Amino acid sequence: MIKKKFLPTKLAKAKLISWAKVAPKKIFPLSKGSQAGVVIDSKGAPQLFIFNTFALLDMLSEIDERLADRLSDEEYHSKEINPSGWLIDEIESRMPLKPKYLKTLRSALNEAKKKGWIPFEKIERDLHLA
Amino acid sequence: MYDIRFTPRGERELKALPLAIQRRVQKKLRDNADLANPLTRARSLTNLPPATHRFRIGKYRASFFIDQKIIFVERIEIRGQAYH
Repeated sequence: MIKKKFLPTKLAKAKLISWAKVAPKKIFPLSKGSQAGVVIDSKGAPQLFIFNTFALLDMLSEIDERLADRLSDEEYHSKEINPSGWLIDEIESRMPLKPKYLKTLRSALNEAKKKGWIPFEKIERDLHLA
Repeated sequence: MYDIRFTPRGERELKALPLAIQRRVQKKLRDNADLANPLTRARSLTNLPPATHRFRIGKYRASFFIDQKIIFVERIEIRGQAYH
């Protein structure tokens, strides 16, 4: 019953605005295919935040990216310390893979069969990471 | 401890990344390779076969499979390329 009362009165004069008006692209950039918006009421107060899956992943990834070098590996993979990363994993593990991407994996494996697998130690030396 | 090997494509992709990201990928791969079971830090991706998993490394993903204590890295790519 509360839901019925809430929606018409609160959203009667609602307006949908671009996500970019709330969060600058520099802070939370959205990639191609991502769609996000904010529903504001007549006073301009945000009432609803709407993200498609890709936009939500963009948001979470911005947070996760900033933690990647700051947290220990154990902390980075902890859902209590890095819940954004945990949620990314949960969402991505339920998403279908692009056939084009699967082709690239097969092609990478076939190339390795022909040319051989490269020891990581060699790559580290080549890149002066050792 | 697990050994790590790359496909030529994976090597090219890693070499194309900025140095700071190369170092990050190196650290995450080495840390995960030191675990008794690196799959505890991974998510299943697809069963080609082989059964391929991926590590999340900030905005990057490392797809790989494991066989006889070796992590075989197939690709290193920026997120968002795999799913639709």
